[in-house]
Amino acid sequence: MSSGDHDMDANVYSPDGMVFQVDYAIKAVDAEGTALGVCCKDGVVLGVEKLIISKMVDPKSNTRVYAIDRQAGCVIGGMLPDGRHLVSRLRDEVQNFRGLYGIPCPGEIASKKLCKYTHFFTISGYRPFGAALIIASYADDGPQLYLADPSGQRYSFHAVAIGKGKTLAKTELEKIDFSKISCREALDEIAKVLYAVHDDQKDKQFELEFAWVTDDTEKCFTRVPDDIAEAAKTKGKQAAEGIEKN
Amino acid sequence: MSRSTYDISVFSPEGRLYQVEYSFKTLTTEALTNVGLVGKDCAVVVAQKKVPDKLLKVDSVSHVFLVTKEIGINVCGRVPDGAAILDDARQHAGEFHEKYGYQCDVTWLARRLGENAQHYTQHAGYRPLGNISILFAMEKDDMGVSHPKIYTVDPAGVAIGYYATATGQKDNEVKQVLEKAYKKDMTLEETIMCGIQSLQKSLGANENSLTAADLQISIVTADNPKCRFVDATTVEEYITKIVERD
Repeated sequence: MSSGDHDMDANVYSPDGMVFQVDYAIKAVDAEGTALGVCCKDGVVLGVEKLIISKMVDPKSNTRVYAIDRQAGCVIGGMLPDGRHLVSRLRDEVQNFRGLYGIPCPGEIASKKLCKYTHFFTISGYRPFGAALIIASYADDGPQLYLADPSGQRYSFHAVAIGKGKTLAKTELEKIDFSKISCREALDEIAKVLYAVHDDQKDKQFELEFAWVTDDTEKCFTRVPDDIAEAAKTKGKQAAEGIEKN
Repeated sequence: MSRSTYDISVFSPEGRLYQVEYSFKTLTTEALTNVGLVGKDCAVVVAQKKVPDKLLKVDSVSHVFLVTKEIGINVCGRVPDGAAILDDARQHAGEFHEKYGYQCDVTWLARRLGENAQHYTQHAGYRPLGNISILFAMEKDDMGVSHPKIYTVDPAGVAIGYYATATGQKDNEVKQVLEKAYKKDMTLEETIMCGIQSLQKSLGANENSLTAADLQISIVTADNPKCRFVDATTVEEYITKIVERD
């Protein structure tokens, strides 16, 4: 199943019926740091392992987590510029919905609209986006977690991971029933998973970023406060050492 | 390899459209099979259901949707392409209703979707969508009598009505089983059981291994033309009846 001459355009099938440009775009997402989302009983928590390219980078300037609306936000996995464009588009869609219907856009509809947009780039002469968004939303339809990937596919998840460490992360996430724990407890768990999947050999400098939308934040999507984040990171780092030894 | 295959939708010297042929290879992407059958006064679609990831919310996985309250669609192939086609179908049905003041019938919709699909096979810059749909509904003839109808619309734009058909990975196997097992004018119960059994035989499953969780069964009937799903308990009863019958 060689890609041969059929991998240069998204609007070209290979003889086996593959659209290689979409598969390559998904690889671009997997080349970046791990991003996670978990859907708990009282909200949704997002976390990301940001790989820092140089000591000179201002650590707080390079965010991967963005609010979409008051009650929803997302984390970008994969290429940051492509991801920022998707965030911009998603913000427009959600504001249009609010303007038209007068209510916050439910997570299901927001992700559907984004995926329709992303899908267009997988059938026409443009290249697909090399970024995936993990979308967290807490509107009238309750806590929702969606993954919108470069193929335009979207599913609703209990927990999701993308990026370099996604396989190991998924294995760890499957062990926990997030629907029974609170966001605060889940934060410790995802900090542990992010430390566990981090590759110390290849990516020495990194930073963790967390955000959530919960009952405690009055269903407002915000960055996790520094003190809580630091506590979770310390706990997570210790717990992760347990995983790595196994 | 490059001279005998063509990357945009132009004719080869033998008069074939390779990109269209390649798009048919995508219909087995998810390794699912679906069966559509027409009974005396019912239309039934039995769709196989698989949840690809343990962390997925099971309710978010569906391949059968409502286009209008009375027309159902089963999509099969690339998931995002199926979502795009579902959206187009809903759009066309909605526009028809707005323009003419009554709901479109399934024959019209199937041909309209076929027209869309054909457009992608001829228009440079797009690839054919990797999806085959089964549309099903009760349709009134000129005398006002309702008849059940099933149409398939494939990536080449062919929209044909059937008494019984199958799409997906084991489509040919199911069709062979149906040619022997299908009878016209079956009752609702017989039609559903015929559908389940033809799927079981083609998947190579022994009688007990397909459960309600592996199937999505949706129906329309003359006494209730609204498209609806058969609940899990009833599906289990049908599966048990099939076992007892044999």
